[in-house]
Amino acid sequence: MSELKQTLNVKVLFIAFLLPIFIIWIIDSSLKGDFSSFDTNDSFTRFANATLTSYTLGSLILLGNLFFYADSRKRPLAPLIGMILAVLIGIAATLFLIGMGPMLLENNGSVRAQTVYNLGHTIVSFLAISLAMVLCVGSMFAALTNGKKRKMFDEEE
Amino acid sequence: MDEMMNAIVFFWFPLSLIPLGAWFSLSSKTNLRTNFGRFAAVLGFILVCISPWTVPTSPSSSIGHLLGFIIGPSSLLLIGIYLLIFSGNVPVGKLPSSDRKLGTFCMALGSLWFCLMQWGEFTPIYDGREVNRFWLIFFPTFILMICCLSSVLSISMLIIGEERQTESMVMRMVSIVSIILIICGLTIDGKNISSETFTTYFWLSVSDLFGILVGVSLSIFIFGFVIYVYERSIGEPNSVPPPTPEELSQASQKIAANIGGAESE
Repeated sequence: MSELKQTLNVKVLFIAFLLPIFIIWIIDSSLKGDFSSFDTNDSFTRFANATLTSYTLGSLILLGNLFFYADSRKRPLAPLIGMILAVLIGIAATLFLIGMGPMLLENNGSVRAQTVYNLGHTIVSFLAISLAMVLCVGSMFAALTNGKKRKMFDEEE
Repeated sequence: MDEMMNAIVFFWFPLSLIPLGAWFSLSSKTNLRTNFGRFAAVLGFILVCISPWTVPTSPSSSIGHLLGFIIGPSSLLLIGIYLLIFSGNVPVGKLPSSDRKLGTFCMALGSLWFCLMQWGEFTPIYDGREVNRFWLIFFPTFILMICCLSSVLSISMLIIGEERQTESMVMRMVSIVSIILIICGLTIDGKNISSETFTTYFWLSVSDLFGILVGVSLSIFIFGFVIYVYERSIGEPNSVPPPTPEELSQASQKIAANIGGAESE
Protein backbone atom coordinates (compact mmCIF):
# COMPACT_ATOMS: atom_id res chain seq x y z
CA MET A 1 0.00 0.00 0.00
CA SER A 2 1.48 3.35 -0.97
CA GLU A 3 2.25 5.95 1.71
CA LEU A 4 -0.22 8.43 0.20
CA LYS A 5 -3.06 5.89 0.30
CA GLN A 6 -2.18 4.99 3.91
CA THR A 7 -2.31 8.68 4.96
CA LEU A 8 -5.61 9.07 3.13
CA ASN A 9 -7.04 6.00 4.90
CA VAL A 10 -6.04 7.37 8.31
CA LYS A 11 -7.76 10.66 7.45
CA VAL A 12 -10.92 8.83 6.30
CA LEU A 13 -10.96 6.80 9.54
CA PHE A 14 -10.52 9.98 11.60
CA ILE A 15 -13.45 11.59 9.77
CA ALA A 16 -15.49 8.41 10.38
CA PHE A 17 -14.76 8.81 14.11
CA LEU A 18 -15.90 12.45 14.14
CA LEU A 19 -18.88 12.08 11.79
CA PRO A 20 -21.40 10.65 14.34
CA ILE A 21 -20.59 13.51 16.76
CA PHE A 22 -21.29 16.10 14.04
CA ILE A 23 -24.53 14.33 13.07
CA ILE A 24 -25.67 14.32 16.72
CA TRP A 25 -24.71 17.99 17.11
CA ILE A 26 -26.68 18.98 14.00
CA ILE A 27 -29.77 16.94 15.01
CA ASP A 28 -29.62 18.20 18.61
CA SER A 29 -29.25 21.81 17.47
CA SER A 30 -32.11 21.45 14.97
CA LEU A 31 -34.43 19.93 17.58
CA LYS A 32 -33.62 22.52 20.25
CA GLY A 33 -33.39 25.47 17.89
CA ASP A 34 -29.96 26.73 19.03
CA PHE A 35 -26.29 25.80 18.76
CA SER A 36 -25.39 26.25 22.43
CA SER A 37 -26.20 22.89 24.01
CA PHE A 38 -22.72 22.73 25.51
CA ASP A 39 -20.88 25.17 27.70
CA THR A 40 -17.45 25.87 26.19
CA ASN A 41 -15.89 26.78 29.57
CA ASP A 42 -17.03 23.55 31.22
CA SER A 43 -16.02 21.54 28.16
CA PHE A 44 -12.52 23.05 28.18
CA THR A 45 -12.13 22.36 31.91
CA ARG A 46 -13.18 18.74 31.41
CA PHE A 47 -10.90 18.35 28.40
CA ALA A 48 -7.89 19.72 30.32
CA ASN A 49 -8.59 17.57 33.39
CA ALA A 50 -9.10 14.45 31.25
CA THR A 51 -5.87 15.10 29.32
CA LEU A 52 -3.76 15.59 32.46
CA THR A 53 -5.22 12.61 34.34
CA SER A 54 -5.17 10.18 31.43
CA TYR A 55 -1.59 11.20 30.59
CA THR A 56 -0.51 10.48 34.19
CA LEU A 57 -2.44 7.20 34.43
CA GLY A 58 -1.30 6.13 30.94
CA SER A 59 2.35 6.83 31.84
CA LEU A 60 1.93 4.86 35.06
CA ILE A 61 0.54 1.84 33.16
CA LEU A 62 3.37 2.09 30.60
CA LEU A 63 5.88 2.31 33.45
CA GLY A 64 4.57 -1.10 34.61
CA ASN A 65 4.88 -2.29 31.02
CA LEU A 66 8.61 -1.42 31.07
CA PHE A 67 9.21 -4.44 33.30
CA PHE A 68 8.24 -6.71 30.36
CA TYR A 69 10.62 -4.73 28.14
CA ALA A 70 13.39 -4.92 30.75
CA ASP A 71 13.18 -8.74 30.76
CA SER A 72 14.65 -8.78 27.24
CA ARG A 73 17.28 -6.07 27.86
CA LYS A 74 19.29 -7.04 30.99
CA ARG A 75 17.07 -4.77 33.18
CA PRO A 76 18.38 -1.30 32.19
CA LEU A 77 17.71 1.59 34.58
CA ALA A 78 17.73 4.49 32.09
CA PRO A 79 14.25 3.94 30.52
CA LEU A 80 12.80 3.23 33.98
CA ILE A 81 14.09 6.56 35.29
CA GLY A 82 12.83 8.27 32.12
CA MET A 83 9.30 6.95 32.62
CA ILE A 84 9.30 7.70 36.38
CA LEU A 85 10.25 11.27 35.43
CA ALA A 86 7.38 11.37 32.88
CA VAL A 87 4.91 10.23 35.58
CA LEU A 88 6.25 12.76 38.10
CA ILE A 89 5.95 15.56 35.50
CA GLY A 90 2.33 14.51 34.91
CA ILE A 91 1.52 14.56 38.65
CA ALA A 92 3.31 17.88 39.18
CA ALA A 93 1.58 19.49 36.15
CA THR A 94 -1.84 18.26 37.35
CA LEU A 95 -1.35 19.58 40.89
CA PHE A 96 0.15 22.87 39.69
CA LEU A 97 -2.56 23.61 37.10
CA ILE A 98 -5.44 22.64 39.41
CA GLY A 99 -3.89 24.71 42.19
CA MET A 100 -3.64 27.80 39.95
CA GLY A 101 -7.24 28.75 40.53
CA PRO A 102 -10.82 28.06 39.54
CA MET A 103 -9.89 27.30 35.89
CA LEU A 104 -9.67 23.51 36.41
CA LEU A 105 -11.86 23.12 39.50
CA GLU A 106 -15.23 21.52 38.65
CA ASN A 107 -17.57 22.16 41.59
CA ASN A 108 -14.83 20.84 43.91
CA GLY A 109 -13.54 22.98 46.73
CA SER A 110 -9.89 21.96 46.89
CA VAL A 111 -7.00 20.62 44.83
CA ARG A 112 -7.20 17.28 46.66
CA ALA A 113 -10.94 16.90 46.05
CA GLN A 114 -10.52 17.76 42.36
CA THR A 115 -7.58 15.33 41.97
CA VAL A 116 -9.52 12.47 43.58
CA TYR A 117 -12.58 13.33 41.45
CA ASN A 118 -10.40 13.36 38.30
CA LEU A 119 -9.05 9.92 39.16
CA GLY A 120 -12.53 8.49 39.72
CA HIS A 121 -13.88 10.17 36.61
CA THR A 122 -11.06 8.86 34.41
CA ILE A 123 -11.36 5.33 35.83
CA VAL A 124 -15.11 5.30 35.02
CA SER A 125 -14.45 6.72 31.53
CA PHE A 126 -11.72 4.12 30.92
CA LEU A 127 -14.21 1.43 32.00
CA ALA A 128 -16.88 2.74 29.61
CA ILE A 129 -14.39 3.03 26.74
CA SER A 130 -12.98 -0.47 27.35
CA LEU A 131 -16.44 -2.07 27.48
CA ALA A 132 -17.48 -0.22 24.31
CA MET A 133 -14.28 -1.31 22.53
CA VAL A 134 -14.77 -4.97 23.48
CA LEU A 135 -18.40 -4.83 22.29
CA CYS A 136 -17.59 -3.09 19.00
CA VAL A 137 -14.65 -5.32 18.10
CA GLY A 138 -16.71 -8.35 19.25
CA SER A 139 -19.64 -7.25 17.05
CA MET A 140 -17.27 -6.94 14.12
CA PHE A 141 -15.94 -10.46 14.68
CA ALA A 142 -19.50 -11.76 15.17
CA ALA A 143 -20.47 -10.21 11.81
CA LEU A 144 -17.38 -11.74 10.17
CA THR A 145 -17.84 -15.25 11.59
CA ASN A 146 -21.59 -15.35 10.96
CA GLY A 147 -21.26 -14.48 7.27
CA LYS A 148 -21.13 -17.13 4.56
CA LYS A 149 -18.08 -19.38 4.64
CA ARG A 150 -15.44 -18.17 2.20
CA LYS A 151 -13.14 -20.30 0.05
CA MET A 152 -9.62 -19.00 0.68
CA PHE A 153 -7.76 -21.04 -1.97
CA ASP A 154 -8.76 -23.13 -4.97
CA GLU A 155 -8.65 -26.79 -3.98
CA GLU A 156 -5.91 -28.87 -5.53
CA GLU A 157 -7.12 -31.16 -8.26
CA MET B 1 -9.96 6.07 61.59
CA ASP B 2 -10.86 9.37 59.95
CA GLU B 3 -12.90 9.59 56.75
CA MET B 4 -9.91 9.94 54.42
CA MET B 5 -8.06 6.98 55.93
CA ASN B 6 -11.23 4.88 55.62
CA ALA B 7 -11.49 5.74 51.93
CA ILE B 8 -7.83 4.82 51.37
CA VAL B 9 -8.08 1.49 53.22
CA PHE B 10 -11.50 0.34 51.98
CA PHE B 11 -11.65 1.88 48.51
CA TRP B 12 -8.41 3.16 46.95
CA PHE B 13 -6.19 0.31 48.20
CA PRO B 14 -8.60 -2.41 46.90
CA LEU B 15 -8.96 -0.46 43.64
CA SER B 16 -5.17 -0.41 43.19
CA LEU B 17 -5.12 -4.18 43.88
CA ILE B 18 -7.03 -4.81 40.62
CA PRO B 19 -4.35 -3.53 38.16
CA LEU B 20 -1.50 -4.63 40.44
CA GLY B 21 -2.93 -8.17 40.67
CA ALA B 22 -3.47 -8.30 36.91
CA TRP B 23 0.09 -7.06 36.30
CA PHE B 24 1.52 -9.55 38.82
CA SER B 25 -0.37 -12.48 37.26
CA LEU B 26 0.69 -11.50 33.73
CA SER B 27 4.36 -10.93 34.57
CA SER B 28 4.87 -14.04 36.76
CA LYS B 29 6.14 -17.29 35.32
CA THR B 30 5.20 -19.61 38.20
CA ASN B 31 1.66 -20.89 38.79
CA LEU B 32 1.65 -19.88 42.46
CA ARG B 33 2.44 -16.22 41.73
CA THR B 34 0.04 -16.11 38.77
CA ASN B 35 -2.78 -17.45 40.98
CA PHE B 36 -1.84 -15.00 43.74
CA GLY B 37 -2.08 -12.12 41.25
CA ARG B 38 -5.52 -13.30 40.07
CA PHE B 39 -6.70 -13.72 43.66
CA ALA B 40 -5.55 -10.19 44.56
CA ALA B 41 -7.35 -8.73 41.51
CA VAL B 42 -10.61 -10.57 42.30
CA LEU B 43 -10.39 -9.64 45.99
CA GLY B 44 -9.79 -5.99 45.05
CA PHE B 45 -12.79 -6.04 42.70
CA ILE B 46 -15.09 -7.52 45.40
CA LEU B 47 -13.89 -5.00 48.00
CA VAL B 48 -14.51 -2.11 45.57
CA CYS B 49 -18.01 -3.44 44.83
CA ILE B 50 -18.88 -3.56 48.54
CA SER B 51 -17.36 -0.13 49.26
CA PRO B 52 -20.83 1.57 49.51
CA TRP B 53 -21.26 -0.50 52.72
CA THR B 54 -17.67 -0.32 54.01
CA VAL B 55 -17.13 3.43 53.38
CA PRO B 56 -20.62 4.92 52.87
CA THR B 57 -19.42 8.44 53.70
CA SER B 58 -16.80 8.62 50.92
CA PRO B 59 -17.97 10.05 47.55
CA SER B 60 -15.52 7.68 45.80
CA SER B 61 -17.55 4.66 46.90
CA SER B 62 -20.18 5.59 44.30
CA ILE B 63 -17.76 3.99 41.79
CA GLY B 64 -18.27 0.69 43.67
CA HIS B 65 -22.01 1.32 43.62
CA LEU B 66 -21.88 1.87 39.85
CA LEU B 67 -19.82 -1.31 39.34
CA GLY B 68 -22.44 -3.31 41.24
CA PHE B 69 -25.17 -1.91 38.99
CA ILE B 70 -23.46 -2.39 35.63
CA ILE B 71 -21.99 -5.83 36.25
CA GLY B 72 -25.27 -7.57 35.28
CA PRO B 73 -25.96 -5.96 31.88
CA SER B 74 -22.23 -5.84 31.01
CA SER B 75 -21.86 -9.58 31.68
CA LEU B 76 -24.93 -10.30 29.54
CA LEU B 77 -23.48 -8.25 26.66
CA LEU B 78 -20.07 -9.93 26.95
CA ILE B 79 -21.57 -13.44 27.13
CA GLY B 80 -23.82 -12.58 24.18
CA ILE B 81 -20.87 -11.41 22.06
CA TYR B 82 -18.86 -14.51 22.99
CA LEU B 83 -21.73 -16.82 21.96
CA LEU B 84 -22.31 -14.90 18.72
CA ILE B 85 -18.64 -15.04 17.71
CA PHE B 86 -18.01 -18.69 18.49
CA SER B 87 -21.30 -20.03 17.09
CA GLY B 88 -20.21 -18.86 13.63
CA ASN B 89 -17.58 -20.11 11.19
CA VAL B 90 -14.55 -20.38 13.46
CA PRO B 91 -11.81 -23.00 12.96
CA VAL B 92 -11.37 -23.81 16.69
CA GLY B 93 -13.67 -23.84 19.72
CA LYS B 94 -16.86 -23.78 17.64
CA LEU B 95 -20.11 -23.72 19.63
CA PRO B 96 -23.42 -25.21 18.40
CA SER B 97 -25.34 -22.98 15.94
CA SER B 98 -28.28 -22.85 18.41
CA ASP B 99 -26.07 -20.70 20.71
CA ARG B 100 -26.45 -17.87 18.19
CA LYS B 101 -30.08 -17.36 19.30
CA LEU B 102 -29.04 -17.42 22.95
CA GLY B 103 -26.27 -14.90 22.18
CA THR B 104 -28.72 -12.58 20.41
CA PHE B 105 -31.12 -12.88 23.36
CA CYS B 106 -28.34 -12.03 25.86
CA MET B 107 -27.31 -9.01 23.76
CA ALA B 108 -30.91 -7.77 23.51
CA LEU B 109 -31.53 -8.27 27.24
CA GLY B 110 -28.26 -6.53 28.19
CA SER B 111 -29.06 -3.55 25.94
CA LEU B 112 -32.62 -3.34 27.29
CA TRP B 113 -31.28 -3.43 30.87
CA PHE B 114 -28.95 -0.49 30.12
CA CYS B 115 -31.86 1.44 28.52
CA LEU B 116 -34.02 0.79 31.59
CA MET B 117 -31.20 2.11 33.77
CA GLN B 118 -31.23 5.34 31.76
CA TRP B 119 -34.95 5.86 31.17
CA GLY B 120 -36.73 3.43 33.49
CA GLU B 121 -36.80 2.48 37.15
CA PHE B 122 -33.39 0.72 37.24
CA THR B 123 -31.32 3.94 37.49
CA PRO B 124 -28.50 3.63 40.05
CA ILE B 125 -29.72 5.87 42.89
CA TYR B 126 -26.94 6.41 45.42
CA ASP B 127 -27.81 6.54 49.09
CA GLY B 128 -31.55 6.60 48.24
CA ARG B 129 -31.40 10.29 47.33
CA GLU B 130 -29.81 11.15 44.00
CA VAL B 131 -28.68 9.52 40.76
CA ASN B 132 -25.15 8.12 41.04
CA ARG B 133 -23.05 10.84 39.36
CA PHE B 134 -20.67 8.28 37.89
CA TRP B 135 -23.60 6.70 36.01
CA LEU B 136 -24.13 10.11 34.40
CA ILE B 137 -20.52 9.89 33.20
CA PHE B 138 -20.47 6.19 32.31
CA PHE B 139 -23.54 5.90 30.07
CA PRO B 140 -22.91 8.85 27.69
CA THR B 141 -19.21 7.89 27.32
CA PHE B 142 -20.11 4.23 26.71
CA ILE B 143 -22.74 4.92 24.08
CA LEU B 144 -20.69 7.66 22.40
CA MET B 145 -17.68 5.36 22.12
CA ILE B 146 -19.83 2.57 20.62
CA CYS B 147 -21.23 5.06 18.12
CA CYS B 148 -17.83 6.44 16.99
CA LEU B 149 -15.93 3.15 17.06
CA SER B 150 -18.54 1.19 15.09
CA SER B 151 -18.49 3.95 12.49
CA VAL B 152 -14.68 3.63 12.25
CA LEU B 153 -14.88 -0.18 12.03
CA SER B 154 -17.58 0.04 9.35
CA ILE B 155 -15.37 2.22 7.15
CA SER B 156 -12.20 0.25 7.92
CA MET B 157 -13.89 -2.97 6.75
CA LEU B 158 -14.61 -1.33 3.41
CA ILE B 159 -11.06 0.04 3.10
CA ILE B 160 -9.07 -2.95 4.32
CA GLY B 161 -11.38 -5.92 3.65
CA GLU B 162 -12.56 -7.33 0.36
CA GLU B 163 -16.29 -7.83 -0.31
CA ARG B 164 -17.16 -6.91 3.26
CA GLN B 165 -20.20 -4.75 2.43
CA THR B 166 -22.61 -6.87 4.55
CA GLU B 167 -20.36 -6.80 7.61
CA SER B 168 -19.76 -3.08 7.13
CA MET B 169 -23.53 -2.57 6.98
CA VAL B 170 -23.94 -4.42 10.32
CA MET B 171 -21.42 -2.07 11.97
CA ARG B 172 -23.13 0.95 10.38
CA MET B 173 -26.43 -0.24 11.86
CA VAL B 174 -24.81 -0.46 15.32
CA SER B 175 -23.59 3.11 14.90
CA ILE B 176 -27.02 4.34 13.72
CA VAL B 177 -28.83 2.60 16.61
CA SER B 178 -26.45 4.23 19.12
CA ILE B 179 -26.99 7.65 17.46
CA ILE B 180 -30.77 7.12 17.88
CA LEU B 181 -30.26 6.19 21.56
CA ILE B 182 -28.18 9.35 22.12
CA ILE B 183 -30.83 11.51 20.39
CA CYS B 184 -33.47 9.85 22.62
CA GLY B 185 -31.36 10.68 25.68
CA LEU B 186 -30.98 14.30 24.53
CA THR B 187 -34.73 14.76 23.98
CA ILE B 188 -36.68 12.29 26.14
CA ASP B 189 -36.81 12.65 29.94
CA GLY B 190 -36.28 9.46 31.94
CA LYS B 191 -37.94 8.63 35.27
CA ASN B 192 -34.90 9.86 37.18
CA ILE B 193 -32.69 11.58 34.60
CA SER B 194 -33.92 14.59 32.63
CA SER B 195 -32.91 15.18 29.01
CA GLU B 196 -31.24 18.42 30.15
CA THR B 197 -28.97 16.54 32.56
CA PHE B 198 -28.15 13.99 29.88
CA THR B 199 -27.34 16.80 27.39
CA THR B 200 -24.94 18.44 29.85
CA TYR B 201 -23.15 15.18 30.62
CA PHE B 202 -23.15 14.02 27.00
CA TRP B 203 -21.24 17.08 25.74
CA LEU B 204 -18.90 16.83 28.71
CA SER B 205 -18.26 13.19 27.77
CA VAL B 206 -17.31 14.33 24.22
CA SER B 207 -14.68 16.66 25.76
CA ASP B 208 -13.67 13.87 28.11
CA LEU B 209 -13.19 11.41 25.23
CA PHE B 210 -10.97 13.83 23.28
CA GLY B 211 -9.04 14.64 26.47
CA ILE B 212 -8.42 10.96 27.12
CA LEU B 213 -7.35 10.37 23.52
CA VAL B 214 -4.87 13.27 23.69
CA GLY B 215 -3.55 12.25 27.14
CA VAL B 216 -3.10 8.57 26.26
CA SER B 217 -1.49 9.43 22.90
CA LEU B 218 0.92 11.77 24.68
CA SER B 219 1.90 9.10 27.21
CA ILE B 220 2.46 6.54 24.42
CA PHE B 221 4.57 9.10 22.53
CA ILE B 222 6.70 9.75 25.66
CA PHE B 223 7.07 5.98 26.23
CA GLY B 224 8.21 5.46 22.63
CA PHE B 225 10.60 8.40 22.91
CA VAL B 226 12.18 7.03 26.12
CA ILE B 227 12.70 3.60 24.51
CA TYR B 228 14.04 5.22 21.30
CA VAL B 229 16.58 7.33 23.22
CA TYR B 230 17.75 4.29 25.23
CA GLU B 231 18.03 2.02 22.19
CA ARG B 232 20.05 4.67 20.35
CA SER B 233 22.44 5.09 23.29
CA ILE B 234 23.43 1.40 23.53
CA GLY B 235 25.03 1.36 20.06
CA GLU B 236 25.53 -1.49 17.61
CA PRO B 237 25.77 -5.03 19.07
CA ASN B 238 29.17 -6.80 18.74
CA SER B 239 29.24 -8.94 15.61
CA VAL B 240 30.13 -12.63 16.06
CA PRO B 241 33.04 -14.19 14.07
CA PRO B 242 32.07 -16.18 10.92
CA PRO B 243 31.65 -19.99 11.37
CA THR B 244 34.74 -22.20 10.98
CA PRO B 245 34.86 -25.01 8.33
CA GLU B 246 34.33 -27.63 11.11
CA GLU B 247 31.25 -25.80 12.41
CA LEU B 248 29.87 -25.56 8.87
CA SER B 249 30.40 -29.27 8.25
CA GLN B 250 28.78 -30.12 11.63
CA ALA B 251 25.76 -27.92 10.74
CA SER B 252 25.38 -29.51 7.29
CA GLN B 253 25.45 -33.00 8.87
CA LYS B 254 22.69 -31.98 11.31
CA ILE B 255 20.59 -30.47 8.52
CA ALA B 256 21.03 -33.54 6.29
CA ALA B 257 19.93 -35.80 9.17
CA ASN B 258 16.75 -33.77 9.78
CA ILE B 259 15.37 -32.91 6.34
CA GLY B 260 13.44 -35.24 4.07
CA GLY B 261 11.23 -37.67 6.04
CA ALA B 262 8.86 -40.46 5.05
CA GLU B 263 6.28 -40.10 2.28
CA SER B 264 2.84 -39.24 3.56
CA GLU B 265 0.32 -42.04 3.26
